[in-house]
Amino acid sequence: MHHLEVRDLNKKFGSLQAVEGVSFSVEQGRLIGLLGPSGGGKTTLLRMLAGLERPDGGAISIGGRNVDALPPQDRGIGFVFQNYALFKHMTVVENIAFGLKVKKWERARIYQRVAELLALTGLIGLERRYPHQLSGGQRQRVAFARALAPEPQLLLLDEPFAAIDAKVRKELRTWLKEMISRVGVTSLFVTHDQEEAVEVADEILIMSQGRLEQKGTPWEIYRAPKTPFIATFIGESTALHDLTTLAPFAEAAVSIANKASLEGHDELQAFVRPESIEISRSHERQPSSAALPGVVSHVQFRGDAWHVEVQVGAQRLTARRPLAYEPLSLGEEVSVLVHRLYLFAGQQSWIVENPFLSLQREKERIV
Amino acid sequence: MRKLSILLVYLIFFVLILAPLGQMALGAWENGWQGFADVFARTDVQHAFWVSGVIVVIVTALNTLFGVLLALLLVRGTWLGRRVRQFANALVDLPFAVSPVIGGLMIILLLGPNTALGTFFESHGIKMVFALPGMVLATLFVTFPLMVREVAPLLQEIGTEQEEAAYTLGAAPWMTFWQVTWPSIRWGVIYGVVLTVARSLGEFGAVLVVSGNIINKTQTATTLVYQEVENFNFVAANAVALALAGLSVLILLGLETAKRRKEVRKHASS
Amino acid sequence: MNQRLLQGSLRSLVLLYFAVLVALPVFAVYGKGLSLGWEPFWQSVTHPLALDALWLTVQLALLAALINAALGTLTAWVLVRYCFPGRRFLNSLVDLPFALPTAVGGLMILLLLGPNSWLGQTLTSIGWEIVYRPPAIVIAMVFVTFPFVVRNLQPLLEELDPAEEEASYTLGASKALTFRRVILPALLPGLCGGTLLAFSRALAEFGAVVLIAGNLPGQTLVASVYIFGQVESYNPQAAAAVSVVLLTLSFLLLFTMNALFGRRTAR
Ligand SMILES: Nc1ncnc2c1ncn2[C@@H]1O[C@H](COP(=O)(O)OP(=O)(O)OP(=O)(O)O)[C@@H](O)[C@H]1O
Ligand SMILES: [Mg+2]
Repeated sequence: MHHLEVRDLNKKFGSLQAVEGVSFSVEQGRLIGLLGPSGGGKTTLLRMLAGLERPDGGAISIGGRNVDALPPQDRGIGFVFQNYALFKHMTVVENIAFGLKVKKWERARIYQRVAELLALTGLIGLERRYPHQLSGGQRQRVAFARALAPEPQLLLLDEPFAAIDAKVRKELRTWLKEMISRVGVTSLFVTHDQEEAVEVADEILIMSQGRLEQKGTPWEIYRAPKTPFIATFIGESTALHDLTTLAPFAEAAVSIANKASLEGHDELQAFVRPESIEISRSHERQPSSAALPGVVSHVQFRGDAWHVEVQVGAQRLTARRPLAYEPLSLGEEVSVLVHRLYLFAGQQSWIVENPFLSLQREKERIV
Repeated sequence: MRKLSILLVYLIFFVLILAPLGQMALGAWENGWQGFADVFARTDVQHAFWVSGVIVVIVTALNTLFGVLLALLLVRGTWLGRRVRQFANALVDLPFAVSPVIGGLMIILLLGPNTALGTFFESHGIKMVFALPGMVLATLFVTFPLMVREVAPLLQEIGTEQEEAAYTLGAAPWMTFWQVTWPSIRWGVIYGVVLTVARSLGEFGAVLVVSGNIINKTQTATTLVYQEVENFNFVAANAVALALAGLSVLILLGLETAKRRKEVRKHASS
Repeated sequence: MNQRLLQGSLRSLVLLYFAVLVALPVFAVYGKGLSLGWEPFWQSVTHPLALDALWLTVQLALLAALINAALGTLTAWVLVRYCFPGRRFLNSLVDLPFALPTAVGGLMILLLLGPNSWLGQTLTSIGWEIVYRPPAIVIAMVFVTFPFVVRNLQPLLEELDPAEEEASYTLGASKALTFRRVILPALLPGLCGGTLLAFSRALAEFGAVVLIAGNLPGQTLVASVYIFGQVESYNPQAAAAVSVVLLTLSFLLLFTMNALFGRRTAR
């Protein structure tokens, strides 16, 4: 039984399809990152889960109970708003206790729960402050504590770190991940930042133009992006215009292209990640039919690696080269080894390994 | 809930504003177009509107000039010292708190026939109380905060940066005012002008006390309405009041326009 | 050099204008009211007619301010929150009592509720006489001060973050509770400020009231009309004495308001 199940959710604003046919499910206690370009429908999806927006169609169930007919008050969710939406005229304690008072908890129990949350979120000493007397990070934590206080079944966070500067943001997101795993509440958080999603989330949902593009662990999505959009959105990718310049892949590409055109998709798109390109000087590596000759056209130091651009025939490729190797110079002739590339046609995708490379490896094993 | 509250608000507006307005309009047309025209053919009615017009023009001109200058002084006049400016700032609002009747009484107490100032002006042949100068003074007192309170916040909001930028570019104070400051406060000033016109046209209590309400001399449009009601001449009262209400609606339209332009400026600059 | 001189004299002129026009008259009233010493002042103020007028004014103005607090809150809420036909028209109409001469406002109410109107006759026939009685005074005060609460609340309502309300809903609070605990506290400064302004304006109102208030001491004779009567009967000292009380009350209100809510005073 999944903890959160969403089936075929739809929402239109006027003529704009903000969310279209979104279905997914989430297991108890997972932390899900909801990622996608601006205007992709993330906030709309979250608001529909919370009951703040009425879907045009579809079904939502939380904890095995269908909540479609329930108002936000009765869904047992916690919501952390983008700008926190703290009650300005209430102190930190009053903010956190609000949901408990609404539920008519006993005073002693409220007191205990608030104290617990203050300790958990590191807000001790700030109890009597008003929101305007807090820093961005502290406000964030109050919003988090307030949402958690009534022990929700599902925690929804809309860009929880958007209004916080880059450095504090990094600290806070590790904090958040820890906090959520300690509390064990199923959570969904929206973010713009792919690095943040990859680092924090157990699983990522990618939304674009109202549609759910892919769902999976960060590694799965990186390894096997289902669409060209995801290949460029998660990690870096270079689009290849002309596959014939990459001789080692030509044969595989042709066979896939044939297959694709048989199924009616003639457009074949190809991408390669910089991490899967190896660049070496001729003396660093044995000449091999798996590699291609290229000319260095740009070199830049990027902190943890060299960022190299090489020209291979008509195609310019971007690659990384470890700092441990000597720097390359402009115009130098190098050998370019492409390990794998991604091919997309219509709804289908293929990961193609360099055939000569696997051949070569096999040979080495035999020898 | 929603429907009900909208309905309720319509009801409030109807009972409080639209119904009285309608009733008065009906009353004014009781004797038809002719009755209406007859009222405005009376010389005392024409004279009353003339007096009101004179007061509006003088008061608006003076209040605009001094209001803008005082606002500049209160916001930008660092040479005055913070405490002094705060105190002056509080004083500006005084006329808001003063009943118009008391405003008129003040002028009488200050310039009336038995006072030192009153006899001084009298000896120079200037009649202050029960004459136009006193009425203008009373109206100036009542309208005083309107312009300052419109312009001062705008000046505060735009800050000094743009003006300082102009100075560093070599612009003289006059030029800076006209080229940099004035465009930002212009619609605020216009709003203040419309408010001042409305208030000086409509001022009643202070003017009634100061003017003595002498027909064909110091009677204004509003005090004429009062007089006609006291004489139970409702048709005349209604006609004059309806004309005044018409002017108010024009003023209201002016206020709306000025407000919108003011807001547009504000959003554009922020 | 010449320019500095010009600037200096301009500044002095503005300050002088300010002092003469605003400060001097206020001193004149206090001076006159207390000119004959404390004893006559006290006598004028505690004269039964004067005392009745002051007390009546405070009562009626308070009632009018409270009515406006309720009507104004509802009006501001509906005008900001709901989209409905005629909304912009009503929104412009809010300012009409400010733009209308107060005497005209008084006349309008007199005509609507007076003995010659259909409504007035109907009400009289069921035993409700309104004109020349306290209810008419309250209605006139409500009319004149109607815009204060609305105009003070509208900006606050517009600034209100809808997410704050939604946060309250997700925490389980009902609509009514959210209004009481989340929205109302945010509106409170504007509500209090607007109500106080309405109260102080109602205390001072003359034009709208003089036409419909009778002269019955303790029932329909309000302070401003009483002062006017004293002026008319050449009794400036008594007029000034009552004015001193009313003025002091108004100033106290004004300063409380400034202290509590900073610069939120409207016209
Ligand atoms: N209340 C609304 N009325 C009309 N259109 C809306 C409304 N809310 C959202 N939209 C539209 O729906 C689309 C999806 O919006 P949504 O806020 O869900 O995007 P998002 O993925 O959260 O974007 P961002 O990352 O910028 O926050 C957008 O095109 C937006 O303009
Ligand atoms: Mg969003």
